[in-house]
Amino acid sequence: MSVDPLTDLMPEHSGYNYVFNNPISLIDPFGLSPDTARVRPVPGQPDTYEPIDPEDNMPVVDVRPNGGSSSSSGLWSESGETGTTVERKWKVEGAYLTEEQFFELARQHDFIAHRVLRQEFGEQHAIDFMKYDVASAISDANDVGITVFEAVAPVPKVGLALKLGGSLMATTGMIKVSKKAFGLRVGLGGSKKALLSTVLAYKLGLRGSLGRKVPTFIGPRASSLETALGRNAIPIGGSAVGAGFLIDELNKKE
Amino acid sequence: MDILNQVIDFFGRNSKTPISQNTEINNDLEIMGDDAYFILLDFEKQFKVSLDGLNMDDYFVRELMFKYWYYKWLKPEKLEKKPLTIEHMAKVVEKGYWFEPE
Repeated sequence: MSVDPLTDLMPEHSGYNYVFNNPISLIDPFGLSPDTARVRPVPGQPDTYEPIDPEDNMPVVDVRPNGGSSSSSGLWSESGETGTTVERKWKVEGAYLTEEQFFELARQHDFIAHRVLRQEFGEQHAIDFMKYDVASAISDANDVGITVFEAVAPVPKVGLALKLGGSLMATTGMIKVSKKAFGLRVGLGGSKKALLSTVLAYKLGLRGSLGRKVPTFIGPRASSLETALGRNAIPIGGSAVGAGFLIDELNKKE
Repeated sequence: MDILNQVIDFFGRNSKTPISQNTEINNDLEIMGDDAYFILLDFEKQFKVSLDGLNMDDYFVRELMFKYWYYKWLKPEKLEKKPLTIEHMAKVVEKGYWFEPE
């Protein structure tokens, strides 16, 4: 037995315990860091793991350097026979990348485990660990219905998109525009202006009776969907901006 | 279903409290601003009437944004408008065009 080489990453835990003393919920197949038990070894196939839950879309991941295996989810394909050098390609956003390209992509996104492992144990062990780590990421991504690429690559862009989109949305909730400019009827006398956010919601087809009154941020309770969205554009957009900052902060910590 | 009940259903579909022919759609149901505008567009379409000639400013408070809360708590009289009843809207449907209440 030896001290966990990743002890420095988990200062609140002793380096001599196993999976934070919680073997029912956590596993540690590589003796490095605990993870939730989403996979289990495939009987009779050393170094190969499969999902514990059959409903889980996690692919079967083979950590042997040139091993023959199958993908249950279509996330990757390979050519060649077992025991020979095979070329495995990973499916990313509809295109297939080679294994090298895929892991380069993941490496660019700076997995802490990969960085530490590469220093401590060398490239091959780091890649083996990453295969397990990436498989977990794929499984988590499948749970929320997004692609592998979205799971590992554009997290910084998600934060940025939320911040920009949220700012724009909140701004539309503070500007009044001419109804005529947006092709809305001005035959009814009275104000010729409407909230930009309300007009945009109406134009995007987000309209109609709500069946109940909905509280709004800058007015009385609204009866129509377009008005409810329009008057609540500021808190909705503001929440998106907050989520963007949160995602960016979490990304920095990783 | 007669016209009055259809109009009651139209304006009552978003209201938890029961409404009658004497309910004022502007003051009692708190319909104002853009909400009133889009509801009246719906009303014209559903009942196939023309509301040309209706000056919304006479009956509905404009979209006030944050000023709404100032009026709501400090000057509630500014949110009161000339009454526009369900009964009158039913009469408008019967005639097929907008006319001022007597």
